[in-house]
Amino acid sequence: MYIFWKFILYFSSFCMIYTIAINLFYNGQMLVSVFDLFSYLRKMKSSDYKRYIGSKNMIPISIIVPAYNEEKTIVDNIKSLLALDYYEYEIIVVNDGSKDSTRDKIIEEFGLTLVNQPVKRSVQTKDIRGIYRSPQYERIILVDKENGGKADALNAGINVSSYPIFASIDADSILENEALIKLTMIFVEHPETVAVGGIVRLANGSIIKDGKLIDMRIPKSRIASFQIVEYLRAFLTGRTSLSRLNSILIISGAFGAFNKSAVIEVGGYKANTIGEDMDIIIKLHEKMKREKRKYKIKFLADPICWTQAPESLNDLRVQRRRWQIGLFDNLIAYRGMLFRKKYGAVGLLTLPYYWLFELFGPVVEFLGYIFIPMAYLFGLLEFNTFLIYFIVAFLLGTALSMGSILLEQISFRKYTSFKDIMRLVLFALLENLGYRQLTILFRIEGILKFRKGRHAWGSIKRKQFVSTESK
Amino acid sequence: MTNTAMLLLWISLGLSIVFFLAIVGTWIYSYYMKRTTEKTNEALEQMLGTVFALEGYEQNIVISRKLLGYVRNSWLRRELLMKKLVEFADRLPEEKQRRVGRIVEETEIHAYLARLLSSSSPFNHALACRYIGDFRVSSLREEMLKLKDSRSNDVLYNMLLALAKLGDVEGLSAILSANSSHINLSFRAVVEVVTAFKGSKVKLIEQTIDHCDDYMRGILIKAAADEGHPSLTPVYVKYSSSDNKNLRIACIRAIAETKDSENESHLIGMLEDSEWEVRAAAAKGLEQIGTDKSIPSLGEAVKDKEWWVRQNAASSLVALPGGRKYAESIIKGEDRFASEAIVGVLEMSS
Repeated sequence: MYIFWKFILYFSSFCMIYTIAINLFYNGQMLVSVFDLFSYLRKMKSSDYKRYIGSKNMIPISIIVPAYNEEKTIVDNIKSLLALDYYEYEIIVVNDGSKDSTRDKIIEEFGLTLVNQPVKRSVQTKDIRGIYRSPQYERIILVDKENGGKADALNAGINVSSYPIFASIDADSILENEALIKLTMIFVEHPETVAVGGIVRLANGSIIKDGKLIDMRIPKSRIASFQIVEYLRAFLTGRTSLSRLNSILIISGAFGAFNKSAVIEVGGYKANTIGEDMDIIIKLHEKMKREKRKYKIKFLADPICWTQAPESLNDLRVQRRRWQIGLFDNLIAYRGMLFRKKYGAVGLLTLPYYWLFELFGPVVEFLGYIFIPMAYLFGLLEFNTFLIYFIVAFLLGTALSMGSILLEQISFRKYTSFKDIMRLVLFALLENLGYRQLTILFRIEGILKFRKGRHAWGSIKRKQFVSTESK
Repeated sequence: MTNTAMLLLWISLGLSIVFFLAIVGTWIYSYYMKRTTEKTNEALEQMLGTVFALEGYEQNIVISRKLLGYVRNSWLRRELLMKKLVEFADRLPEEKQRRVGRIVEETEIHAYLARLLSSSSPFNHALACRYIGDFRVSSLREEMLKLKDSRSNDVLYNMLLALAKLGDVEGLSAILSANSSHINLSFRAVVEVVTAFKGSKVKLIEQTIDHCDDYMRGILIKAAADEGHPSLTPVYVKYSSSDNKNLRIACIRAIAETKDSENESHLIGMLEDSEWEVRAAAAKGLEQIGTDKSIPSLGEAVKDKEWWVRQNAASSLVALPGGRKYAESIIKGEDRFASEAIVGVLEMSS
């Protein structure tokens, strides 16, 4: 019994220190992000990206949109891509054996017909059933293929693409007009760039018309509102700070651009996995570092991709479980890079951080919620210590979220109404009183179901974008 | 433990309160700035509209003084004036550009840009170079050239662009002729600089090309190619026999862009190059300058072992007069890859 009590006491203390350490680490990341964001904003003052909007010297780009059962959003998505400010680009929509009418909706809307376009097989994929094009919409190429998963669809898009840079974009996402040019400018300014990611922000509740976001609002759904704060925190602080160290491990599958030859060199996306967006980035780091090549993998906080967050608990659960499985899968696959000096900041800082805080964080936090109250109930912890711990954990978490909202306000100011900002602040406070704990459970479920779920995507219900103001 | 916990408590509470107050403060500040910016822009639009509408020198001086008084003690107003001037400069015909330069002098923006150039921040340097180019402030050229060894890509790019906008052959040629490894910009950025050059591009290229390395030669030829410049054909032909693959490709594209069939046999010869990328470029180039003389050679290139060469050759073959018939005879032949390439092109073009 004595050993059990001792265990409870020491484990509780460990959980308390861990929780505070993780929050302090995140706050430290925020500080790095502040410097990076200010540098970025100053740099943008002299940036010449607008000049390149109509310039034929801009790198032509292939936009690849993998689509599986996306009949509700795919047409809006393609329309938004057609409206982009960019001189030369092609839109490759890869219908990955959808069971709904995704393919037919695209064919009907844009008047596409089957063509016999030859395809160079730079990376292996499932069979392509047909390629559809239209003389009226020369930019659009529809690739209809057998179902093979998102990674396989992206690989098929790479094979069909004609340009040296490609961007991957989710079918339920909308790009801001200048997003693509801002993203690809980095390839012009820094030719050693192999990949660059833009920020993904949530469009739930906002008004989208003809593929353009015309009014930004906070959604009525509380679950989506919590995620707005989460996304701001993850992108504006987490990814920005890791990008500064050239050790970012994820470029969101929803919006990223890649040097095609570099991706082909590493064998393309890893098929039959659900963390393909993380896999491709670690693979690029691994190859470049191993071969001692000069390279850059960047995250930019300004080119915006709007997407939809799950609004039901079940969809949120599926999404978080999937993310955690993808993370676990990749960390195991690349465990050989851990603590290896030749991989630089990736091996010495980012991978240990992901193992320690992102993978095991939910487990430790969950156990903390059990053991710390137990320690108090068994009289092993003073009430004051117990209370202060919870208040500190709550306040540090809240400070981090509020810091991210502040960063958004200082830098990009997408939310202009005072009411919306105060709502975000409210959700930053409430997030630590239930929502965070719930997502921890979903993430733990992901770890527990790792073996069974590592190849299954699961499905999330899509909603059509709100397209008129009356709605 | 309790002391540490209390300290953490105060820190976290303090952080939350500070962030909250900063959020509210930022919102109020940005609201105020938005209003002020709108008002200032309106006033500047009016004043600049008058300056550019007036012809008389003395009237202009009066408005310029008024402008100076308006922006002298406010960084925001000066910054907005600079942005507005860029907008106006973009809309003005070349002969009226000098007026922009005069306003820049009279409103002390010139002095401000000089201060930015002499500061220690690369951000300021890049910004100053950008405005020097936009406003064509040639008097700051020497100051700007002192930054030519900057390690910042932004500074280097904006300086090159400024020199291009000033039409400064000497300055631009000197930098481009230096070792290209010093210029860590993509070839597209340099091509854009050359495209923006306000002067004789032929002169710039003739003055630079023999003094720079192969990488920069390729870029200069690419930049010239888009605009044709048939007088540069001897340069393209000369460097098309270079050992550098990329330079050969650039020359092929430039020759094709001249749209002159006189050079057809040169490109036909390059279909035999040892590098597939060069063969692919030559096959594509023949689509632009090829005649019936190219058809047999393209017919052979359709059987090349490289996919891109086959595709480009098939595409050119089908596009040439009389080529389609020749291509159809290949479909019936034994080479499956050649046949596939031609079928694909024929379907895409129908």
